[in-house]
Amino acid sequence: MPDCVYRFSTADKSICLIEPAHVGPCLVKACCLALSNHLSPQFKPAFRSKLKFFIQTKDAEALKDSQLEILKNYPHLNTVLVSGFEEDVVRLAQERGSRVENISKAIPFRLAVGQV
Amino acid sequence: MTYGIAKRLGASRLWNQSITGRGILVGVIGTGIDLSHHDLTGKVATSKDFSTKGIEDQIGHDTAVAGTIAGKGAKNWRFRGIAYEAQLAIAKVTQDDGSAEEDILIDALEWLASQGVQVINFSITSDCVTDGKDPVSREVNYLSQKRGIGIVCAAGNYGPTHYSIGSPGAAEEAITVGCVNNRDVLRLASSRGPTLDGRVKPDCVAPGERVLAARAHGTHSCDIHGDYYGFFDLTSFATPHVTGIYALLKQVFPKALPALIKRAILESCDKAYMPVIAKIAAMPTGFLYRLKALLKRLLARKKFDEEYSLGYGRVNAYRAFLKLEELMKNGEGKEGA
Repeated sequence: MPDCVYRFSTADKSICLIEPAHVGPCLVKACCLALSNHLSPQFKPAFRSKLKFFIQTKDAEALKDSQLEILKNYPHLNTVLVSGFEEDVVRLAQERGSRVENISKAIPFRLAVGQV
Repeated sequence: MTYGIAKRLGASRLWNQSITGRGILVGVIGTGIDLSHHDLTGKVATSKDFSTKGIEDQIGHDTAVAGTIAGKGAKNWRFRGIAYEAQLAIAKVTQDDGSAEEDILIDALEWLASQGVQVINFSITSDCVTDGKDPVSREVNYLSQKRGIGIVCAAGNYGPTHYSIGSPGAAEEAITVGCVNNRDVLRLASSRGPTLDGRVKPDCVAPGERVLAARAHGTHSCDIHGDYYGFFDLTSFATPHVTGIYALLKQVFPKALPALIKRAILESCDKAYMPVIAKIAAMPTGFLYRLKALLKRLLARKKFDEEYSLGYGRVNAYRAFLKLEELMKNGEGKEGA
């Protein structure tokens, strides 16, 4: 489990980092890292390039004039695939969080093979 | 796949009734296919390369998957797939290192749906656990609920810890498959639930130990058995057994909805077993703590372990057929259209 998932919570308007290693004992809440004011320094250096994010929203205007570049639209899932810096996504969550249902970082997939 | 597994899973009893997957189009998402393999020639109705690397299987993963689902057994009938008269739709999504991007997977699922597949085999998982609300999982739910397509997903090989189910295995509508050895004992590496939001996954288990399957020309990602076959392991190769069973059931009951077929497969499972070593391995470190925790878990959490590791148990095609027949007679789950 080398990666992690970002989750946007509409309840407290925070972006969460779900650490797989911690998920078992404390589930989602305890592993949520609220980014209400600024990016956490712990993952700032690692994510300086543009990343892909899936943004789930029923409001087509939610992304208007944001810094995020829309790559693909999945209307049947109410989801758009965007490219942008992490801080732009955080800003979107902070400024227009009520119009967004979910944000998740695009995650890598691999063949289901491994150590026997 | 060998006849031994087909017999063990009850599929050979369905073959005797001419239930062989004829008329069913099965989608396979993965590494492409070796079109020249004698068990797969003429089986591929349609294919599309989303990887820009060409449809040929350079890794060998999904040639084996396709052979386990629908291989003809051209030179030896004992090597037939579970639904050996089904046709295949192949979507190649992986790069040379076996990775795939999330948006490509959604595109591939959409394309397979547009080709008219009735069931899709998904032996690729995300690197991380999810709660089933990620985009690929939601696409799986959408295709199953709105388009009537069954989706069978590998649980992944991140066991023995719990909460190790990734996407799209965590999708609510998916049939998520863990793997057992040849004695129906859970394999250590098989990913375990519950999902991040507490649902039971995997749904069931299937054989995932030394599965004899078609080997793509020039690939060596398996224990090689002769020129055309190899032995493959873990959940990627357990999953196509269930996909094949789904295709057999869909042939007999074309109007059955995915949810009903899933229910029939799950409610007819045979007993599978937890290995003691897996229980110990899943404990926190420290010998005394492990011992104490083991006793506690054996007494109080046995059900938790089994339910979130084995699901309903090991699949049985024949019993699933009988169960679905019963459900259909009761008028449950028929398609409106």
